[in-house]
Amino acid sequence: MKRTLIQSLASMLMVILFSGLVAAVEQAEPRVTIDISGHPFKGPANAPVTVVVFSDYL
Amino acid sequence: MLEKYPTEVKLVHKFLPHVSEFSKKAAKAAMAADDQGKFWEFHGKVYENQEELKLNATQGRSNDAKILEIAGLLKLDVKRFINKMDDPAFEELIDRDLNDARELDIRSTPQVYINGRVLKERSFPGFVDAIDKELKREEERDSK
Repeated sequence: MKRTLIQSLASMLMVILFSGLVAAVEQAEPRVTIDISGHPFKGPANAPVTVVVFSDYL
Repeated sequence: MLEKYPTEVKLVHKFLPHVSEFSKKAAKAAMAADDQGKFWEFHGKVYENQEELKLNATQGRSNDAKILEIAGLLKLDVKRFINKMDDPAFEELIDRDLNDARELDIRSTPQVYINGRVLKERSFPGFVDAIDKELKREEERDSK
């Protein structure tokens, strides 16, 4: 009984630690500023999300 | 993607012409089409003809005729289109993009950024997930 309780607590701790790690990784994902002035675009100019695609034709 | 998020997403194109000598010419041609409000149509047609264009470029053949054919198909003012291709402003814009790509250490195309964050999973669900995260961040920022 005591052993099962310890195992459950250990599992819960692992879940909490893992969630924290995932959140930290997401938080740490770097964000860069990209100059888009004068570039062709589609969609509303003041849209909350900007998708920038660097591409080549060949 | 824009059909799913018609009011939430703006799609911006930046140039990274690095594969062949023709790459930069195609980028300038796309901007010359943009001058007549047909960037995305031109962009689509170039991709449709990518295999032929690629073959010509790798075998040292000119793609000028194909580019003019596309301009004609899109009913562009071809004379204006040709003149615009040499606009120094386009050269400057493309060079700026090349410089940005160097600073961002972009090594292959396409490279996608969503609100400045690199999109690692470039599948439809990957896009949806990243866009939804950004929209959630916006909501959280607005509610503070």
